[in-house]
Amino acid sequence: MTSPLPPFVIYLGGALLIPLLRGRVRSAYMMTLALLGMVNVLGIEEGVHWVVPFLDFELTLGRADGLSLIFTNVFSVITVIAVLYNLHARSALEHVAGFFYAGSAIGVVLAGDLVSFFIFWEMLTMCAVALVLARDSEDSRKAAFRYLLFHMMGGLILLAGIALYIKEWGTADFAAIQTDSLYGKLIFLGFGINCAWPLLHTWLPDAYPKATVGGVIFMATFTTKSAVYALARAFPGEEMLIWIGAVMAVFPVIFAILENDLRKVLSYSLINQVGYMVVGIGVGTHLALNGTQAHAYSHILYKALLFMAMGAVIQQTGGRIKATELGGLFRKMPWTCAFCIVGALSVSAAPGFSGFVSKSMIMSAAAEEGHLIAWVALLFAGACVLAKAGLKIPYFAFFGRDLNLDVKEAPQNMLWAMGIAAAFCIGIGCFPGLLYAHLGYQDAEYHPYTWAHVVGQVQLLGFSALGFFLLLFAGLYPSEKRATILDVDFFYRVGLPRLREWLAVRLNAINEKTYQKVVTEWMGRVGRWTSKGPANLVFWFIQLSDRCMGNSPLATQLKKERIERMFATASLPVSLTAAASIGLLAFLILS
Amino acid sequence: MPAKRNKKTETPTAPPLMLADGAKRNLVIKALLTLCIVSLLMDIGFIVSPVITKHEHVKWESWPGFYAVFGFLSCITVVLTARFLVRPVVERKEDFYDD
Repeated sequence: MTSPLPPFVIYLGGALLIPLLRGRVRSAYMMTLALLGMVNVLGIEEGVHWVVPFLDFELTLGRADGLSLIFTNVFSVITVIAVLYNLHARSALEHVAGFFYAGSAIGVVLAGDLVSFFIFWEMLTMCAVALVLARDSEDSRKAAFRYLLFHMMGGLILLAGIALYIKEWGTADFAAIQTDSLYGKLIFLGFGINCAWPLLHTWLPDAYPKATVGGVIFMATFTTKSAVYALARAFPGEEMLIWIGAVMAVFPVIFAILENDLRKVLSYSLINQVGYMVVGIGVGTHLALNGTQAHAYSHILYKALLFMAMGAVIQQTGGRIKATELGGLFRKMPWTCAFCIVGALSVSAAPGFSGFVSKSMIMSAAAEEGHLIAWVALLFAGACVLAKAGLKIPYFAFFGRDLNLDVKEAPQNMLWAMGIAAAFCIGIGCFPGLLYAHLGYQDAEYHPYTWAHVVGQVQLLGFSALGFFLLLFAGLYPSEKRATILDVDFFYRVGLPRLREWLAVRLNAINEKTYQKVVTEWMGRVGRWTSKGPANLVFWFIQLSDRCMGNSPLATQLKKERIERMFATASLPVSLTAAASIGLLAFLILS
Repeated sequence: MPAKRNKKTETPTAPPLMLADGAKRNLVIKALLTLCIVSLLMDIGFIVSPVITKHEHVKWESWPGFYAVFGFLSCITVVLTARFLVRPVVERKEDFYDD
């Protein structure tokens, strides 16, 4: 049953009470709120709900159809899991930002018009910035600022596109958009920035590792996946997306292999997985779009699970997250380790886990439509997944070098949250029908558990794992090194400050000259003119009258000195001052 | 104590990699090899059984062991590319951005 309240009202309105509550009451309230939000979202029926008039438009706050409902479904489920995981976090800001984030993301997905869509879209950015700031370190403050700038730029590009779209069509309805117009290109690019396309992706591995352990679950879920939804809504079948997605799936693998910070590894892995979804949108057939939705669903859960496991490691070890600082935790944190392995098997698409039933849908669709290069790129990324995350994350965090760290298992709420996410991963992997029943295009059939698919995947992963361990034992696997791995954000993190310095040196000369001319010279003249102006004016009148009356020039000269003295000491008869001021005013106005 | 990467798996400064010494290493390799061989044998199912058919979209998929070769080569290639071609270009000191 569709409730009379749009989901964002519950999430945003409910979140406002959080700062007033403390301790167990707050925990209970937040869990109730998240569950209430989920029940409300799951109850939305297909159709158009909550249409509100606004200026000259109608805001459609609830366009519920096959494409949007699966996203709202997973968003509301992950909110419950993330809130449970994050219950113990002290900062109220973090909790409020989390709920606002969820409410805005669901608002984005349900928006039927571009105006409300844009408002929710921008709120996503603000919530993410709050979650990075909540970490409260110098590092995260800087990263939050970079995140803000990057997304402000994206938001402005999108806003320009939306404004042109509304001008062109006279309506703000959000439907399929062509990329051959300027507004189409701007909107496409605006979505692409939030979707972390290659070269536009740097905000993601920059900010996510610096967010709070709980905040990153929200971030990893909402921003990129709502962009995936937006692309699927506006640009299904856009061929450019196939190429963008293929590049996205492949290049982050190398960075993920080199990175030492395990949450950064997951961030690159996230980009790589979103690449699959982007390819699916580009292929644009019903099977491909189903694959994008299914993969978004399973990806959100297993990526959240992996981020949660790494968050638990950070929290329990007092801030350690680098491969060089970790190892041997499987004895101390067995449950976290087990859940992490479930997440890793899911991201690797091992048979029986969620990635297996969703990733291959997109690949099958790409192959069916004859996109051979994209298919090879995705297969390559699928083979490398073990080396970049599937084995790397669990191995270096929980095995690796046994440093004998003195740590305890994660707290109950974290374990339960991870357990629920792990149950989803296995549940979807073993009973894919449950997920497939919710996909948007029921005419496209897909059967993941064929003999050929299982055999192929086992071969792919088995031999890839063999390769990984052989390289690791041979000392050829490049990890465990304290280093910064440059990405293209180098160009703005180092390039822009250098440009500023260069400009300062070049422009300083001009600046200096201008200062001398304008401030010292011209302003001085203006000052002198205005301070001596009244005296000169009075003297000019006196001179005129003296000349008319035939007085001697010597007497006039004497008067001049007297007038100047009177002006300098302000001992002027009132009438004379008034006359001079009026004269000056008149002169200024007339001239 | 930060561990340093070393060409050998054992260094005096860091404890050894788990699963990477003698008996355990052999066990890992053996287990993986068994999995690989079983997965290759499963391919034979297509040849001997008339019931099981491949419904391939790409012709390479019908080659026995295609996924095995592709998986192994991809993993090796990407790791070695990252290590020897990409790392020297993009690696900087850990505090590179801090100043």
